[in-house]
Amino acid sequence: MTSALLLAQVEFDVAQNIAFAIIAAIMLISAFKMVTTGNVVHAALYLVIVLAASAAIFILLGSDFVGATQVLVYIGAIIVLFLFGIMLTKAQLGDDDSVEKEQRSMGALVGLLLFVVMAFALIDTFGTQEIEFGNPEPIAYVAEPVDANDLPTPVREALNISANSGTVEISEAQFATLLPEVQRRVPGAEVRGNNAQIADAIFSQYIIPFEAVSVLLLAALIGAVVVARKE
Amino acid sequence: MLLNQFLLLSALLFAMGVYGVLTRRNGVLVLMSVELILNAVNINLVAFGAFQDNVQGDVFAIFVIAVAAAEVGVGLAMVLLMYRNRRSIDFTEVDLMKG
Amino acid sequence: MYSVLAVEAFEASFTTEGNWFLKNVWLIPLLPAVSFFLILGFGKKMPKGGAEIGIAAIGAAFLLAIFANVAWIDHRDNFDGETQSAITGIVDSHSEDENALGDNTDANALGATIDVTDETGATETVDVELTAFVEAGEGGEESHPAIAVVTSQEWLVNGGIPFLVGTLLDGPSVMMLFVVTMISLLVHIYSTDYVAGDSRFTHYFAFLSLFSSSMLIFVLSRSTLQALVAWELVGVCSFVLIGHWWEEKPNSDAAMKAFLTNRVGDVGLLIGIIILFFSAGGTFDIIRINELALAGEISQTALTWAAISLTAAVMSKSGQFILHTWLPDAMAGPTPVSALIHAATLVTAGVFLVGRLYPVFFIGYGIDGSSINGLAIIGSITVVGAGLVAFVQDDIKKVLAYSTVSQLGYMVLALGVGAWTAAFFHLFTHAFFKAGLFLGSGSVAHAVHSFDMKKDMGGLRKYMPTTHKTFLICSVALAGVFPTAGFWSKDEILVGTGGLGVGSGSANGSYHLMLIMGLVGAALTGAYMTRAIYLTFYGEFRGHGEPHESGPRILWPLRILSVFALFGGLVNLPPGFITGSLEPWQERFFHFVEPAAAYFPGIGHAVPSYWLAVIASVIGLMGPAVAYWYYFIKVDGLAKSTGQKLTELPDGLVSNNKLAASGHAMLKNKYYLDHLYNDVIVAAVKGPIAKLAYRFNQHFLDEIVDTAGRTSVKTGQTIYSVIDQGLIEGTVNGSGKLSNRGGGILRKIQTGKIQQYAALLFAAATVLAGIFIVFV
Repeated sequence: MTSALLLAQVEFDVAQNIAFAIIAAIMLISAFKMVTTGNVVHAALYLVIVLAASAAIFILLGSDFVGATQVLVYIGAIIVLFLFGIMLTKAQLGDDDSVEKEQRSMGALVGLLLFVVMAFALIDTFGTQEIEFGNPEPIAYVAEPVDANDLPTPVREALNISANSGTVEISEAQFATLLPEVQRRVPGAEVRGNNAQIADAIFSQYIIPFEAVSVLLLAALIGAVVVARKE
Repeated sequence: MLLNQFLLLSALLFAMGVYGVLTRRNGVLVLMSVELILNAVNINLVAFGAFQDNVQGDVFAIFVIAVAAAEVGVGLAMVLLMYRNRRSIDFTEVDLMKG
Repeated sequence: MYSVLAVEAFEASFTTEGNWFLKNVWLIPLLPAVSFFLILGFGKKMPKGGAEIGIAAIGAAFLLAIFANVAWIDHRDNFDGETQSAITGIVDSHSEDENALGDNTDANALGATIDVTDETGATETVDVELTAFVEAGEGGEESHPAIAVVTSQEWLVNGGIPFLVGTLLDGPSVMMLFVVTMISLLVHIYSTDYVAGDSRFTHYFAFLSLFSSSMLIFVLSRSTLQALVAWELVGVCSFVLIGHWWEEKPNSDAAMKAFLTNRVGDVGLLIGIIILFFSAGGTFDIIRINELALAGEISQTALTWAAISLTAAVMSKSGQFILHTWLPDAMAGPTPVSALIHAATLVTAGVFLVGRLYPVFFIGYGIDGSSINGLAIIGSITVVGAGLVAFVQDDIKKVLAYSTVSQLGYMVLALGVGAWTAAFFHLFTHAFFKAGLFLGSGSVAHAVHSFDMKKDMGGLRKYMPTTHKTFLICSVALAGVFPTAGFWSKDEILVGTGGLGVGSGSANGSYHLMLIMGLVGAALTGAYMTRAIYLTFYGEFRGHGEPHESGPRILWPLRILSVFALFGGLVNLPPGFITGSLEPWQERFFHFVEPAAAYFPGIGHAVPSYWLAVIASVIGLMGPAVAYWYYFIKVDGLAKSTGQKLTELPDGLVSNNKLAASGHAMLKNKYYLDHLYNDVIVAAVKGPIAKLAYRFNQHFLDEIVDTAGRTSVKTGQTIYSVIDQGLIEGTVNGSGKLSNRGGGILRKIQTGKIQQYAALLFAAATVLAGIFIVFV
């Protein structure tokens, strides 16, 4: 929807783009409804849809761990917090649509201006660059007998195995001759997953930010208790 | 897939979040709009992570989620306090800074 | 970065070799530090509430400190390490410097000067400062300089500069180890009785441990940075302990005052350290800074500014005039803490700091050959000023507090006139009798449950004989009566001033004013102590109930301290006092405490004179004599004849003489310094300045446009009435209205609505970003 013009110029993976289009449409419509609806509870529910859709986007981008975290933390916890906030403040559950016209047009103007500037900058900078999904090298391979018919076509072609040659076993020497992006499709090859890499990064390279965030959470916890506590 | 389709989606989401922050009168709704903004940033981060084929984007997205959780906690506490003091969470009524 | 010479000298003035006790001296501060955590963690569960851990730790530290002292004495005389050859050259040049400094030909007031013929056959006159070398010369052996034993550990490296922490052990620090651990041990024992039953007993002992530990870290500091950390730790502990009974507002106020006043000085310390860091080419190392200062590698200007900044630190920490006001208020803390603060820790930190970085002051203030400088002035004002205030205090602890201020003034004065050894000797003796006095006052207060001498004391000698005796001994020592400890140290300071020709020019300069102030101070000291003793122990008992003598855990520390107060001075008798020759045992203190290494300036040592000692004693006794006549004869006689309980004469000088009355009022109000701080400075900040800022905010910024408009209108009207109407009128009024309207429009932006502010913020940011994208 947003980038239909750009998409027309390049080849693309149809299935993924259809998924993206659907998700994006749902997300934007919900977001729009969320910021315009008069009903507070409805707004919270629209927010759930937006957050779920963005979790889907994360998974589409290959970051399933972030997607899962999104679902757990946002939809599981933060939304509940919001609903509590709505209940405790006894906000009108019905229409809350008395925003002044002047202010609304001003907000719309600012938002539009913001989007135009950002869109211009993005199209100007990144144009039609594609996201190449990486092909990480397998870290281990254990040879096992497998039906030739089940082997992916690139593997069969690279090793000259016909589809009807029955059960075969690809030796480690043969495996080593393959290109990385083919290697990872051989059954028995162990690919280092995204999650393991994230874990490695957080607990080695980003250990100090991680600790800082944990202290921040503690401080926020204490701060929230102090602020909201009854005297 | 194009990088820009994610970035533009995120930009649109961001703009909507800003619109929400600027126009909603209910404090809780303002906070929700802030979440929208943060989510837009997250999409950006993850998209760039995929684009550069490393996990830094993912790691920072997770940090943003954690920080957002803290922000919501403190923000809602403040809204609650405001409600307790003024019996209202209408941001347009908070104008003690009027010059 | 450094000249080769400087580096060589640097390496030669310390060693990492030495006795086990000298190399592992870090254990001494570690023990109380560990005990702090142990008491906090387990103290409540212990049968004695954690006091036993604290006493065990400080006791062990005291033993280690004694061993370190013994090891140091051995090291000082017999050190024969690897760096020996390197040292010799420096020692030679050092001794030459010293010879050049003092012209000793007529320094024979005590017949102390002797001629020594060394191996080359040349005859040279050697004064007392060269004792160490004299011994060597006589023995025909190589001399053994007092080179420091250091350990160091790299704390962190930043920008290629290693930040060292470690221990620097030499004469002054080894002496301080002894004093701090001993006083602290006695205070610990005393406290088990004094604060028994207190709700925060455990907490009290924990911080007593940390307090001792931080002071020990301070005296062993290897680098200025480490010293700063320990200095701040000492400050925090004093804050906690002074505010121990924080439930009462004055106590927590006093703690806050102590802390905040000290912060003023801490800024000075920080600035001083920074100046020294940069001017010494990027080092925090104390030895190196001292050596570079002495070698002339640091500019005179930098040293002077560093000395001035550090003086501010000394003024606040060691309670020098005009930053001393926190010290008497700090009496709000428990009495044993006061004893510890006033005798061994905290206030002596300032004096020790000067002694530690002495070259900075010696060169920076140009102490040598001068007759006035910042340190000496501050010290001498403090000696007299605080002594006078002490005379009008009714609270026994406040008398002692001002007395401490006054005595610290003596130490600072001594450092200011170049009498380094005298200052440290006075610190040493003062620690014992002042601790004794404070603990004695605590014992009295324990009995009568008050500190007010006029209301609740009097005649206590009948009820508390031991306390009375020890208090009397310590007072005599404080007043500097022959032959108690105070006499020797005070006399050495007085002669060290070199004023009015005393010491026959063997002192560093001729500080006439300081000598006079010191003599006046000596008279005052005796006078106010006589008054305090009369009000406390003589006359009729004015309090309620039946006071009784304190228990053994309070009395034994008193007895020990009074023994030291009596005989502590014997460690540093003037040379030739008995035998007329430079027998080594008469110069022990000087010999072992004063560093004779390349990081210490070659200071002159005044030759004691009999006539000064006699005059000082006479003047020092005149004060007590007058006070004795007034209190023991006049007041006591009147009280006996009228049967009243009198503390002052009803028709004394104060009530008859206007001048005396106003002077009395000024002293009562402590020179109005607190008024100055609270009413003038704080009120100014709170009142007019704050109001001004508020007004600026409220009116100036908001209405600047309006005002501009109004001014234009007024100007326009003036022009209208004076010159013409018509065109000019229209223009002027128009501009006025325009300004006015502009103000109105700008004012509309200040709606107070946050979302409008946010909208402006976002819009402005977007516009700026757009400009950035398009044009950059």
